[in-house]
Amino acid sequence: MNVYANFDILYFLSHPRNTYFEQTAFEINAMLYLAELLSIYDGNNSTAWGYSFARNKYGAPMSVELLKELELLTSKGFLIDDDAGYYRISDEVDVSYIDRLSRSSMLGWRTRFIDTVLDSLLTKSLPRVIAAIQKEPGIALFENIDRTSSLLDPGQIEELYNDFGALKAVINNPEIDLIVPASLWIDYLTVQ
Amino acid sequence: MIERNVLEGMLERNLEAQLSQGIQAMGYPHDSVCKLFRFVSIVFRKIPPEFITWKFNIVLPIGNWNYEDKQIISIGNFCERFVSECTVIAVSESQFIIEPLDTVYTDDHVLYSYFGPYNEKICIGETQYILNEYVDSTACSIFAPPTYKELDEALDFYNNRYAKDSCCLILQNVWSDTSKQEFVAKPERFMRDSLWQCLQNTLRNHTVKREQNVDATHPVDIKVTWPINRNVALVEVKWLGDSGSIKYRDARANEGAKQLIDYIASSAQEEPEKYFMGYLTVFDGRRGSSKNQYETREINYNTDYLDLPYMKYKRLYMAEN
Repeated sequence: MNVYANFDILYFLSHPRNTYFEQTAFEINAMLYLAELLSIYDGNNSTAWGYSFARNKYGAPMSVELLKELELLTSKGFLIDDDAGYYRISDEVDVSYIDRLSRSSMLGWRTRFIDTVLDSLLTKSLPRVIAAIQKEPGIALFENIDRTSSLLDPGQIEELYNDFGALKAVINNPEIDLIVPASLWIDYLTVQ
Repeated sequence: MIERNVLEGMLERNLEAQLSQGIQAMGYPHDSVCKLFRFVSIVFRKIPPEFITWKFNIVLPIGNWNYEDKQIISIGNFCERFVSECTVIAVSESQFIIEPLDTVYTDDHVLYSYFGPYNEKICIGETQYILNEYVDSTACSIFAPPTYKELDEALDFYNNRYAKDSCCLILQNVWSDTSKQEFVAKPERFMRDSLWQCLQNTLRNHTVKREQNVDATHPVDIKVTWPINRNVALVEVKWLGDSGSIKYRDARANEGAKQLIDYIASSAQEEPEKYFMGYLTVFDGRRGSSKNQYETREINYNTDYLDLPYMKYKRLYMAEN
């Protein structure tokens, strides 16, 4: 079991601000990948996220750890999946327990990035944000050459740091809310 | 590598960035924009904007407001109390106060105003932000963008909301003038981009791409793929109507059908493990002696084409003013 992947899925899908209460594995993977990108933008190391993403035969971004946790949570009755592949939180889930976990030192730090993902969906539709994420340079590179590969590897991360450095320089306001770089990055990727 | 000049231009048109700068200039907390967005979003989840026929304001109080003598209501009772013109004070994400629409507030606040579909603004101090100037959306509110799980649903939405009145910014370019009698030269690029943009923004759990090759030499206008399973929809865009000396009628739609059927055949041959569907999408700008004469007149397709189970035909009628 990957505790980070497990928590992120439950926190994300059960969040009262999640306007899309049922989501496919592909959508959940893409949103939590965006959360990791925001964590990196904020200065965290990519390894701190606790699980990894890749481009596999189903596309990108996909995380083996997230897929395993989706299966585990469904088998335990915490998630319900339908025939079309949409997952939602079941009534079995104790939301107050997730709330307590979200305040722990081990997991609490990452909720800020998932919260920002949810905020970015208030004015931009989920399909639009996902389409943008798929144009993220690291993903687009492997998409163009149709190659499966892990994402955010040391070889690629430098370019992401450079891009985020440029994003920070253009915003030029260290005090500004994290929703601004998130929204601007999505807008930029949309037109690529 | 990121294009800095592009990013700089986008910053000027990014709603969150502009509002955040306004918030900072007033010395308000940096999360005020998100707090307001969250409350507006809650309102539209309770009552979709399509059902709201009255004007209303939402006030996000900044600092410590005095709520003595005011009735604080639980958000669970929102639908019962939000029935006509009013101002809603967002006390928290779970509590609100209802007051008359024209109430004036002197304490620090951020104001959201909904005047009707596609007509909303935010005021921070003396500065007004007209939301549709920042977000290209034909949703009634930018806080309630529609999404669909099925391609057919998304195409029907596009037909009713965008194509019929040519109301998207891209699609407005197809007409040679405002009378909407004749198309400009080669209008198909605007039609394709408009449809592609709409599908990309509304269709969930699919990948939507423009100008994808179906074989070595032929690109299809839009390719929609379903992640996980092996379904692929090829969307070909054609138009009927007049453009200079070109006058396209039913025969043009049949040419498009033949072309798409051939694309499906060659795609299935190249990728036999996938299941291909064809969507012939015809923008219908035919004009006659009376206004909107062709609105309900369907296209006569070759019956052999209509019998093919993997082909779907969508006529998007583009109305006259």
